[in-house]
Formats: sequence, structure tokens, C-alpha cells
Amino acid sequence: MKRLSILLTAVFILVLCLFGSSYAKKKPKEIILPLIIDLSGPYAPITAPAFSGFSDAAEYVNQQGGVKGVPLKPLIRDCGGRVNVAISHYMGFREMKPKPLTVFISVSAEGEALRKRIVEDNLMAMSVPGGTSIYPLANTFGLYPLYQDMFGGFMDWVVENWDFNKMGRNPRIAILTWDTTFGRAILTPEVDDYAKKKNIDIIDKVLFSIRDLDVTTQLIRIKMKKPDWVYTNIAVDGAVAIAKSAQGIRYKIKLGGNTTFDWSTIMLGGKIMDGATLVCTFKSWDDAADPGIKLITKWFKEKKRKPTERTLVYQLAWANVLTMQKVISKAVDEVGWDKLDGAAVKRQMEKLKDFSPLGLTYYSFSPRKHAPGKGYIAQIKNGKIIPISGWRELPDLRPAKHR
Amino acid sequence: MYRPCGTFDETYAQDIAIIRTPVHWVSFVVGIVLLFSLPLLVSGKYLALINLIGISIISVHGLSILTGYTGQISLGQAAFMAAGAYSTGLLSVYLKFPFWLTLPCSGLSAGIVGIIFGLPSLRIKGFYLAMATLAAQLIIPWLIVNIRPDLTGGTNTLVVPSAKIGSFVFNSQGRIFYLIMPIMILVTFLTRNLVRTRIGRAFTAIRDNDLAAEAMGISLFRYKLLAFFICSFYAGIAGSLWSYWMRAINIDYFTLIDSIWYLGMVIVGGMGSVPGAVFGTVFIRTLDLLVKSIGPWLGTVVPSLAGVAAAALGPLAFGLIILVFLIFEPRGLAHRWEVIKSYFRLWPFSY
Repeated sequence: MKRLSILLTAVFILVLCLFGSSYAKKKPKEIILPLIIDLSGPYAPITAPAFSGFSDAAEYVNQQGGVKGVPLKPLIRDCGGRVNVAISHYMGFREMKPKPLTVFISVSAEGEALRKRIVEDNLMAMSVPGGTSIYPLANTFGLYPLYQDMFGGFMDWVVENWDFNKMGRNPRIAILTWDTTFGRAILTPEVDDYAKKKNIDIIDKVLFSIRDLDVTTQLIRIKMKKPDWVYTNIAVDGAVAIAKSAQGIRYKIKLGGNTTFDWSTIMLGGKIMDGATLVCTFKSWDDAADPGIKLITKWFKEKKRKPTERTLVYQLAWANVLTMQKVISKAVDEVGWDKLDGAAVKRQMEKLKDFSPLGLTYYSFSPRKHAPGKGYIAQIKNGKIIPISGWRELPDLRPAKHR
Repeated sequence: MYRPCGTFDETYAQDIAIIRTPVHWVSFVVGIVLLFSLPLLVSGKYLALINLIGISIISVHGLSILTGYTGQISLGQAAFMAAGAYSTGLLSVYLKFPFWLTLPCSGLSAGIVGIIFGLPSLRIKGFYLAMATLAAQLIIPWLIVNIRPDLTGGTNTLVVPSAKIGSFVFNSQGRIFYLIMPIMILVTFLTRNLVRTRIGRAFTAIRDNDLAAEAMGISLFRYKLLAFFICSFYAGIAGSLWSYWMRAINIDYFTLIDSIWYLGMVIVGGMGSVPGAVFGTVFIRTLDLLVKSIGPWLGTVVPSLAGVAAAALGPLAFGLIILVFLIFEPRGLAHRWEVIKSYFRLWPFSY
């Protein structure tokens, strides 16, 4: 009897070890976060701080226990704004063992080019929401609201502050933007319809090259049409080119922009950027009392990051890593480690409702809506981005056929 | 041309053969076997690079004929590729043409576009012609984006279906490799032969002295436009393959910078040389991917340099290598290749 009990105990321990070890094998040593970022191409002034942002955020998340004890490891690749390089890096990612669950893409054109492959490879992607990278619906989610939604939010604010009776006419907006997928993202029929609905006259749509440093000619054309606002869907050097060219011809311009028109733009342009009105989707770095801003500022200082990296993209990287931690954890709860894949992560993304990583932004998605929709209005004053409204829902101006 | 000792041409066929000796044949067969084994040997990341190199070689051969052999500078090669790529996009998306039909059609459409922009070459040359072809780089993308954005997608991406033969779909890097490489080899072979024909000699005569060439009875009108047509035809084929490889087309993929780099590939490889076009393309494309890996790696090793290092070091290293290369080997990689071959031909008894 004693021998039998010893034998049974040994068998029980053996079975336990076998099951235990097979379970442990299914839990990965680390979760790779593949990132395709333009660190050396035309968008680098905007996107390069993502490198530091992802590194710091991953370290923070790993200190908090990662995803159920499994650390996150960002794997950063520079595409230089070239889609062929992005494809090469993407191919490298998809062949990794174990296969990654997600991929982050920082440029609109690359997001669009990789869109179909991401679906075929069953990955979940987060990308800037330009052009057709988000709609038609696939596996890609927007890092912030659609550019056209932000422009809609700007139009809402213009109308709220416009006295139709006193002025006796509709407000006039001219669009001056880059001739790229990113810049032209607001030139959609839905935006035109929304402007009409809001009694706003879009009086001109003028484009310029991403490499242009002077837009005087374009501004002279716009000036003749007497707009109340000039809205631009671009950032950094492009926005500064507009402000400088306006200053050069002594044209007191009232400039509007989206969330990418941020601190990197202010650092480059200086005082001439004052007065611009922005639709922001991330907390202002200048809101020093905010707990989320306090935390990332502490990390920023501890890691001795350069002042030029104190931008939207650094915050965006934090928000992305924290979101990945949340949705991958939930996906593990749902399907376990052994069945964890991009589809499971995507399902959890579609369930996110008003998720606010460190309070920096708000992410809400659904199976029919893959771009968040909250923002606030802010103005640049003395080189700081000062909120002038609370968080609000932006109008939904995604292509009508995808609603 | 130097021949290995004991190699004699006894017939005209031997005299004009591209592959001359048994060693050449063995090298050729081994090279082809190795090339077509690559999808089994290398990862998808490098296969994507090899496919890109294959597509670029086709385009650079075209530019080499125009610039290297005929002496007509063009800054519009990427735009001609765009013409081919969008022809493929429109024909395959809206008219459901199979790839074997879209491929020549795209080449032809780009060729015709090339002839239009080549017309100024009859009146102007040198830097002035470069400016005229620069116009192609501005006008073609503008037309693609603005004339029928409902068809081309405007600045948005146009998704292109995968190429397929029967039920075999070229939807992975490994599969499309077998579409790109045979075409690349065929184009290289055609180019090698073309430059040895009457047409090729006419091109060279025009490059060396167009007045003298005309005095000898070479029609400048015909041959200059033919050079533009061939250059753009190749670019169209390359653009078509690009769209099947990428399965998406966006006008941002065909910029002036790309045109300049195609010219750079011709120069680095060696003007007026078929192997030069291959060497130049392999060198530039590989270097491009390599320098883009330096920045993120350095950012990981030295965290305080993250981002900034990547932004600065990649282009810096790229520019520096090209600069140093052109100083020490202005005649291109093809010349260096000839020097190496000559050395080993006489080795170990060189004198």
C-alpha cells in the first residue's frame, strides 16, 4: 500500500510537471512590438521622437509587470519614409518566431501599402489615420482621430465662435496643405458636405510640396479671397513655412491645424506660431499639473531626452504601448497564451471604450469604427499649447460608404 | 576584348557570343541555379530587397541606355515608372486585364509618355534636357493625382490585385521573385544585345558627337526618340512589376528623389555599361537598407542618441559612402570589376 501511494504520488508529480512545463512553454519570454518609423526621411522631424517614447514607455510598462509578467520589447526599424524599405522591414517582422501580434506604422502611405498584407498575416496594426489606411475597415486602428474628423472639430469651433447676425455672412476657410497623402487627407466630399451643413464657405484649396520652404505665391492667391481662417493639415516645417511666408508678406494670418501641429512645430517656428488654433487629441505638455504629463515628464527627464523630443509623438508612443499592454492582457484572458494571435488582440481593440492611457488621450473603437473620436481645442500662446475647450466628440466624417 | 589564353574565335557566332568559354557557361549556370534558389535560402526581409533590386535593375537598364549610351540626361525615370505602375493599376483593377497583358501594355504606355517628353531632346541637350525631363517628373504625378482621382485614387493608395497564372498567385515575396527575376534577366540580355546592334552603335555615335552622327546618316530624330522610348518602356515594365510586388500604388512612391537615385545608380555602376547598371543598383539599394539599420541600432546601444542618431546618421553615412566612392572610383563599379577580372586573368603571373 505504501509503495502504491508513493508510486501514485510520483505519477501525480510527473503529470503536474509535464502539464506545468507545457503551459510555461506557451507563455512567451517577451512580446515583440514591431515598429516601422520614419527616423531619417521627410517625416522624421515629426516621427523620430517615437524611438525614445516607445523605449521609455516599454520600460515603464515592464516595471509594472508587462503583460501578465511577460515584458514588452519594442523592435524599431527606420523606413526613411520609403515604402520599399518599410516592406522589407515588415517582411522581417512577419517571419519572426513567435510571430508578432501587432505592428505600428508611422507614415500614411506605408500604412496604406501594408494594409492588405497585415490582414493576410492576421496582425493588428496601429497607424496614423491618413488616406485609406483605416477605411475600408481592416486590421488597422488609428492612433488618433481621422484628419477629416479633426478638421470637422475645427469647423465646429469656428461656428461656435462666429456671430452670423453680426457678421452678416458665413465664415470663410481656405485650405493650404501638403500635396501628399497626409496633407490631402482632409480634401474629401464628406468634409465639403459638413462645411455646407455648418454654413462655412471653403473658399480655396491650395497645395504645396512637402519640400517647399516658402509658400508666398500660394498665400498671395489665398489672401485675395479674404479668408477668415487658413487651415492646414500638416505639421512642423510645412506649418512653419506657412507662418514665415505670411510674415514675409505682412499677412496677418489666422492659422488652424490638427493634433500633429504640436511642440515640434512651435520649437521650429518660435513666436510666429502664436495664435494658431489647433484640434488636439493628446494632453498638452504644458499642463504640468496633470498626473499623466507629470509621469511622462519625470521619465523624460530621467532618461535625459532632448527638448526636441518633447512632442506629440513621444506621448503617442506611450499611449500605444499602454494600449497594447491593456488589449494583449485582455486577449490572454479571453483565449489564453496558446491561442493568442492578432485576431484576438483586434477583437479586444474593438471593445475599447473611452480607454485613456495615463489620461493622455481617449481611445474608443468598435467593429465598425477603427479611429478614435475625441479631441479638444487649444491655442498657441507664448510658445505654449493652451486648451480653450474641454474634451469633446469630433464629428464623424469617415467616408460615407464605410459608416 | 581580352580572352583567356588559348581561346580563339573561329566563327562569327563565337565572335558575337555573350557567353564565350566553358568557364563562362559554368559560371552562368551556377549563377542562375543559385539565383533561383534564393527564395529557399534567404528570409523574406532580404527577399523583398532582392525583388526591389530586380525591379530597379530593369529601370536602371533603361536609363543606362538613354543616359549612358545615348548621352541624354533624364530626371524623370520615376515618373515614367509611375506611368507604367498606374497603367497596370487601371488595367488590372477596372478592366481586369491579366498580368501578362498589363505588363507589355504598361511598358507601351510608359514608352509613349517617354516619347512625348523626349521630343525636346531634338532641340536641346545637356542640362537643358535635364530640365525638360524634370518637367515629366512634375507633370506626370500631377496628371495622375488630379485628372481622374476617382480612378487613380488621387493621393490615396490604389490597391492592385496580385499577379497570377491560372491558380498560381504571386502573392508572396518568394513567389513574385519568380516573376521579377526572369524578366530582369531577359531585360539584361536584351540590353546587352541592343547595345551591340546598329541601334546601339547609333546611340553611342549620338552620345559621342551628335553632329558627326547626323553627318554619317544617323537620324537624330529617330534614334533619340527611340532611346527615350526604350528607356521609358523599361521603366514602365519596372513600374508594372513594382505595383504587382507592392500590391499597392501611391504617387508618393515615384518622387524626384527616386529619379535622382536611379541616375545615381547609373553613375555609381558606371555610365554606358550593362554590368554597371546591375552593380550600381545592387550597391545603392543594399546600402540604403543598411544605413537605415544603423540609426535604430545605435539608438539602442547609446540611448541618449536615440532618434536623433537615426535621423542624422543614416543619410550622413549614405552620402559619405557615395562621395568617397565617386572620388576613388569615378568610372564606376563596372570599371573596378574589369580591373579585378584583368588581375585574375593574369594571376599569378601578372606583369
